[in-house]
Amino acid sequence: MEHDKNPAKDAANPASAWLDYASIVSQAQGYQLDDAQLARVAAQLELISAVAAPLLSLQLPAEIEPAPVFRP
Amino acid sequence: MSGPSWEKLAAWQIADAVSCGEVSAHEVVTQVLQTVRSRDANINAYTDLTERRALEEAAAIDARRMRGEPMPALAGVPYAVKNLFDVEGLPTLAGGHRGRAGPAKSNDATLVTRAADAGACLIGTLNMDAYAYGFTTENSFHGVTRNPHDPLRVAGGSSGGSGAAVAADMCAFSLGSDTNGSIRVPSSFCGVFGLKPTFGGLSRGGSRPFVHNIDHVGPFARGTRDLARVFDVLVGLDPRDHACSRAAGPSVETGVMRAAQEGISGLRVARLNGYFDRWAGPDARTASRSVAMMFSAQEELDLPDVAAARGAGFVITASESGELYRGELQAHYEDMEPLNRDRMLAGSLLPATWYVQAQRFRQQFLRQMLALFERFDLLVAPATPCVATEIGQQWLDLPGGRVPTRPSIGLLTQPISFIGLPVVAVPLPTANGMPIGVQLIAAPGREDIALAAAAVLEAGGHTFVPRVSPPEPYRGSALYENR
Repeated sequence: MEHDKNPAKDAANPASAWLDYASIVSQAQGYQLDDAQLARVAAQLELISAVAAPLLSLQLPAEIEPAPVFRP
Repeated sequence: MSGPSWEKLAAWQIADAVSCGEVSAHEVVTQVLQTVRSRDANINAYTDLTERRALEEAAAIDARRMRGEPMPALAGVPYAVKNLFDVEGLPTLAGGHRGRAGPAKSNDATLVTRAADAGACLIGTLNMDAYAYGFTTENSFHGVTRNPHDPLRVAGGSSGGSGAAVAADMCAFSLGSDTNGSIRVPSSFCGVFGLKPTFGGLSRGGSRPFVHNIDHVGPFARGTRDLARVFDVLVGLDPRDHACSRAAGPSVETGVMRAAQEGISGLRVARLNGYFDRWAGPDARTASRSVAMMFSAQEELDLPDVAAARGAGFVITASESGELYRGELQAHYEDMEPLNRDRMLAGSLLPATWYVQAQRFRQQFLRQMLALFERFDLLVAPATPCVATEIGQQWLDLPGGRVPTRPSIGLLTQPISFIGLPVVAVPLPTANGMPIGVQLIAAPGREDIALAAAAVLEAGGHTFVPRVSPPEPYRGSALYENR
């Protein structure tokens, strides 16, 4: 299930899970964030996660693809 | 005896008057510049004025008329553009820190060039949410743009300056951009008409991108005929915009004028309820129901998966803007807008699977909506959950629940622009005197249908009539000291 990839679903404390996620992924992206920045970014990840939840709960058929079509 | 107030007239009326010599372009532009000087201190719609350019463009139009040359469609019409459009001689702010905007541009954006070729006179550039990421035009660098109908309320965003300038007669039309609702929200809050064309319908060449997959550009005006005329002038293919796919075609304005006079027969209309009612307050629901009634709507539709569409738009927006601004966020975080830099940074960290799922769902939702247009010509939905919110308001209380204001004002617009459908935002009056917008949504490429329907509402006297008169008690008050 797509929504199982949501860190908030894997922890008893979603905010803490997003904080851990933000800490690891932000370093991988080359950011150097202090604790206050990390907390604010984690809060935004939590907000985006909540808005995205209806999308992430859907099971899309495999034949639905996003590729652009190039017509002659 | 004072002359006519040219700044209050429609763009087409100004162009007609200038073309026949009833008034000079110089006189019109001078009057509008004076209006901006006297009124914008209270509203803060403009970030830069291009006075010299406007007067030079006006002089060129007056000279053409004196030489007896044919006059173009927007002769002497004063206009302004959201400050994400390139304007020769100005840095393109895109709502960001002036010190990070880069050098002045050496060329105009494509739409600015086309407007100039059609005789329009550029008055200046307009305030916006930084990077176009927001719905309120509360900008930490350039101040909040206030609603011309109530200066304690926002103008909407992200094209807040574009909506407010038109509503306050500080230009005849303006250009803005709409990724998730940034033309339709300010139209609703400021009580003006706005056109978000089909994705790729107008060129974004020379405008600062925000979300490549969903960015649109389009006009604001005080009437439908002006929207149509401006669209006719601006439409056309452009190699500067990868997604621009619309060639110039038959005049949309002609159809709008016909619809205004004769009405539209056989229009198949449905109102969107379900999600759209759940996230609409009483004013928004009343407005959408009254428009549906005026068109004798045949059905009410409860579309499935609209919340997923909004979620997908949200994910695509956060991811793409996060990727686009990643370098800036890494190197100049402190110089970026505090109101949205953390969401943008969070967007750059989202799992790739979410983004791919959003793009796949986009195809599915588009198919679902295209099937609807085999049964209906027009869909009606509210544009905003409520009338303009107060400056600094943190929460919206809606039938569906309590939500944070800033990211949620686009709840009703986001699921539509996400799949690129053309929409005209039509302002209606409410009981408390503030305007509220209704979305008239058509099939891809059918701006003509949405505009014609808007013209019918306008001709029938059903739409909001701006009565802007800046309240004197607010002038010079403490509220404006920090603009």
